[in-house]
Amino acid sequence: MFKPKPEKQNMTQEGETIVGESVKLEGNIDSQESVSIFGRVIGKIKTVENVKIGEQAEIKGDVEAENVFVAGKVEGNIIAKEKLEIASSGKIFGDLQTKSLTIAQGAFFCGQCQMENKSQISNLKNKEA
Amino acid sequence: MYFYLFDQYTDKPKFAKETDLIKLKLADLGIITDKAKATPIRQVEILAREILATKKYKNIIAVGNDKTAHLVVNEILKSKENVNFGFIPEGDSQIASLCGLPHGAASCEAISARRIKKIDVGKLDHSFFLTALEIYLQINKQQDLWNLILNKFTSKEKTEVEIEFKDQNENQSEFKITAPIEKIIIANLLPKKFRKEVEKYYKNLKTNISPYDGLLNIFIFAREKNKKPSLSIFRAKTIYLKSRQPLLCFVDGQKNKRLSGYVGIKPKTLNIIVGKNREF
Repeated sequence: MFKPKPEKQNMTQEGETIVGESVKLEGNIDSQESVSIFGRVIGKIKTVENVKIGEQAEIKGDVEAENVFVAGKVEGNIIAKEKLEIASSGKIFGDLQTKSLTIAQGAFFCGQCQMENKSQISNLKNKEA
Repeated sequence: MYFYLFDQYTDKPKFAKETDLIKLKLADLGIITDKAKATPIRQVEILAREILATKKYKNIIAVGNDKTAHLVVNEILKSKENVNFGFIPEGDSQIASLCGLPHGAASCEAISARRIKKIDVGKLDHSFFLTALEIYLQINKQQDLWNLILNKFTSKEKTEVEIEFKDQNENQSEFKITAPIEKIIIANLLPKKFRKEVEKYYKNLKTNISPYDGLLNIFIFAREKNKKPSLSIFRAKTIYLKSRQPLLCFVDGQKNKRLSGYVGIKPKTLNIIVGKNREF
């Protein structure tokens, strides 16, 4: 009798690409703006802004962005130039490359992680020596 | 030189008083050169075509509603003449509110001020649109037997539409999406009624769309069975729509029966006279 009301999503910005929950996307997204994924994507996502992967989202492909937030499932490598955050519902099957990494309790991660900031790594090595 | 094209309905009793006021105001401002009124035989589009063929006028002003504006804009763009398009709305108009043109005689001031902007226009097959396309699936209540069998044995939902995106931004990303569609809005400019629909889904989403960026804004309202509806937003230069069901399309708010599937954009194509309170 009554149509269910759409749930309002929190993170939105001007000029954003959004893949909704019931949508399946095949191909590569190469964007200049933020990308939010709440549906299924088969392909590579590349942007100079941020990528948000929602709880219901499933991605089969690599992700490359400035900051990446993962609350869904990703089967592929992730390169976050600044920050990578994995929420407790997040599942990643692939390698990570970032400067700053946050993994919440309960998150699943299967792969290798490479921290990019080489100066920090060399400083740590010097201190240990 | 100004030419004013009055739509057929403007001399109906409901609008006659406003039409007289417009003519008086234009005479006061000294910007009325020539005018013509459409008739059942010489309709707005035919009149516009004839006037454009004379190559005499620099400003063509449509007096009427969104349908009048849509028809005149199409004729101007098809003629490839370098003329300015102006609009004096009588009755409800989405185009006027987007362009910051007040209702009736009040918009004559904006015409007189001649604030001209060169904006993008959307392209659908061989016709153009100023604001948006609204696309629905045309589902017959009486389904034929073949469709019933097909739906039983395929996993695809009946309402599923495939959309191919090309040349997104300058990075040439190409992808296709498949979704059970409720509605698709393809906008060059987003009218208020659509803006409200979009804002229901996302907080803080800025829906002021620019008609200068050479991109179409695509809003896909999708819904799977027993799931909450969702909205997807993309920007692209060209898209192709494919569907098993016929697609019903409204162009600038006017019903359009034909939709082959191709929708594109022509950047910075139309010179339009706008008001101070325009939304772009």
